[in-house]
Amino acid sequence: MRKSARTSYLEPDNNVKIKGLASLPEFQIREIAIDSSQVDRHVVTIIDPLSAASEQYRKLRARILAATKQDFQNTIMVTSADVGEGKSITSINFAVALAQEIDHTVLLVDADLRKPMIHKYLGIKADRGLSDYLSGTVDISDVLIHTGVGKLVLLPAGTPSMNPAELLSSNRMNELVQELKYRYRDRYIIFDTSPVLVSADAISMSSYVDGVLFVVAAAKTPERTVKKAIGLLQSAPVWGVVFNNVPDYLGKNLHPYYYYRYHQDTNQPTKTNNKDDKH
Amino acid sequence: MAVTSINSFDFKRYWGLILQRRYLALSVAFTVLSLCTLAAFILPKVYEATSTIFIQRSSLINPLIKGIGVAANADEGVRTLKDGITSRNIISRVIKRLDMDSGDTKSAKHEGLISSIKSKISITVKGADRQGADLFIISYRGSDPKNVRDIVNTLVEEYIAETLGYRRSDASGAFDFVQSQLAEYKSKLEKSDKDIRAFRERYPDIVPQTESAVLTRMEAFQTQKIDADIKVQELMRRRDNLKKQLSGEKELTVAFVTREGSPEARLNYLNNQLVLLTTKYTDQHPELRKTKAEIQELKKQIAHAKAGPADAGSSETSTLNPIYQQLKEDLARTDAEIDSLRARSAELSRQQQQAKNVLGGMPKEQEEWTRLQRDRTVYQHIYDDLLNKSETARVSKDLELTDKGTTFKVVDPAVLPVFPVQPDRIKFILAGILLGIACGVGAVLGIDYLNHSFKDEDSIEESLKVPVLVAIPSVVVEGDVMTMKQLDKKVMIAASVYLGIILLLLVKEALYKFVGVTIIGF
Repeated sequence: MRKSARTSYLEPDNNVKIKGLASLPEFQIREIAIDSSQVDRHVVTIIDPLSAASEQYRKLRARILAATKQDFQNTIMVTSADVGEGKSITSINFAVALAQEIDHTVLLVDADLRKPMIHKYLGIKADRGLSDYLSGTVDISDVLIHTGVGKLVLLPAGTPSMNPAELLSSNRMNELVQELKYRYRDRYIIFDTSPVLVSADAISMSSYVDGVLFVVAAAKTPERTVKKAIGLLQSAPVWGVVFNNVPDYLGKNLHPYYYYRYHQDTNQPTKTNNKDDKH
Repeated sequence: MAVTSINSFDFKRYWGLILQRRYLALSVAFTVLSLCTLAAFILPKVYEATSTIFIQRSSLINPLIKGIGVAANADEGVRTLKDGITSRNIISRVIKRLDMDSGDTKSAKHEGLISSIKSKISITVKGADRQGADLFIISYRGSDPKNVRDIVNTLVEEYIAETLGYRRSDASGAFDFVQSQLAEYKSKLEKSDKDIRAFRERYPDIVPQTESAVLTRMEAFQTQKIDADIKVQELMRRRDNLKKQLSGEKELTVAFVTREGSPEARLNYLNNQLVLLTTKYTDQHPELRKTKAEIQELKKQIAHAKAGPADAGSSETSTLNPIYQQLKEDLARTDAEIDSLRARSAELSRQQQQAKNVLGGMPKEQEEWTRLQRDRTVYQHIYDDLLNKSETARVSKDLELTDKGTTFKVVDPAVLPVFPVQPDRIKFILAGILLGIACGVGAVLGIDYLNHSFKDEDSIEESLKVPVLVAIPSVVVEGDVMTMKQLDKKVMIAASVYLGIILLLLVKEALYKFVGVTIIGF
């Protein structure tokens, strides 16, 4: 890692195409420090970094880092089959955990234009965001927010849109993703999308990203539904499942010294060795 | 499989599940408990009255009269108690006595009432012991306690009255009947005897005969006659022989009479003696000499005797010939025998002829005789039998009249039932509590079983073929915890109050039932 990366949130690139990303100096990005008292209590990585749940998010971070270390794959989509499975919370916690890692700049994009929640969970007031940028009403620099949590930058959803599917599948969106992906290669970009079975957004988004994290809430969504959703993401590289909201009585695998068992037959992040997973 | 595996019972898991869905469990449990409690209080009350009858079959008398008197058949009475007490007759009388309907015994209502009462009667037998005593418990259920009690008591009274009355009239009725039959058969028997007597007087010869007997006798006569004739023939041959022999014999015969110690015999003896002596002694021996001298003397005498034959020394006598006499006697006897046998043969012929005559004249008289005999035998048989039965009937009658047979005793008459047997409120409430718990737990587990969502990582990996990167525990937010705790508290208080009320009802019922104390007036 270059030393400069520690001081700049968005490092300029020579080939920058999108106005604002390239020309705006870092200090010009809005900085809205997160007030932890306003943060949703489920954002445990900020509220209670020492909790078991935070530890699990760090474990997730370690696994993703290990998997993407060699062939840098920095665009990750977080989705779920249905609403209420904790995908936004997972996105935030995962992003925060990544951002807390000293070397990584993380851009968290709230691509769930139908029910944007991330800014609410973080206790940030964000009137403008991705939808506004995609509509062409604002520059990207106007909508990026530096959160003050490590190197976490937030791109909120913005003004509620009437046509989120069109916006997300627009060229502008495609360009934005490409730009973010290739211009800042040391940066992780995390997209929080709407659930797979709720809209086609996640499916269209999945073609832009390197990998998908699929959130499955324990004892909630029927197996059939989850299977169907995963089936719809057939073309997308589903790296793995985040088994979320596991109640105490089902938490047999949450032992602090639990050694995770990998599926050797999958081509996803599990190909890496296990040493990072020992907690 | 993503479905929870319930094969191995994981207590922690299920307990967690129940805690998780405690409101569901509680609401189901309380609903069930409420329904049970409600049922306990609103279901119509059913009262039961019970009467115990003690039936003593006299242990001393019964073995004694077993096989003698009909009262020994008390076992049968006991067996039929159930049928008896639920008989239409008795129930009908109970209805009448208790004035339970309009009195029209033919109406459908009456029939309905009978079957309704019948269905509510239950009879149990307690220990048929070796002493021959049985306890019968007769119970009846109904909604009106007074009515229930009266029905049981009346039933028992009616049953006992009927059973005893029936047994008595049965015993004396049997005796009277046997007596009348006895008299009838006695007169029949006497008439039969008289007829036989008259017949015998009319046909003195034929009396004891049957056709086959006459035939047998005829055969016997024939055989005897043949035997007699054969014997006559033999005897006649013998007589001829005797006659022939008799003609060859003289009537008189000559007998020689020799005096004892004749000289020839003496000479003979002495000669023998001489031979013996010669072998022993010399010729000079005196004994030998004496013997020789005597021989000489004797020889002289003999020679002398021969010279004068008409000497008085020996005589020839003419006498009756004994053989002749013997033969003559035999002949006479044989003649007598022949005569006798001939007479016998003639008699036999006569008898045979008589039998033949009897046989020829038989059918009519014989038929009559047979009928008389048969009637008499039958009457005799029946009369003997009746005589026996008469004694039995008399014993039975005496037994019943002196009440020494089966004794009925009402040990416990039915009393006014205070507590309904149904619904048993205590049982209902207790069952409601248990059933509520079971249903609450069952609902939670059932929903969990039907919830085909993912419950562990292995099932996800197995089903989706995607690795589980991480399992995030439920994040319990402090505020939520507080809210939840407050809600829990409220719910628990409400539940406790509700449960307390129900337990209070339980205690009230228990006190009422077991101690008799009424603390709440319903």
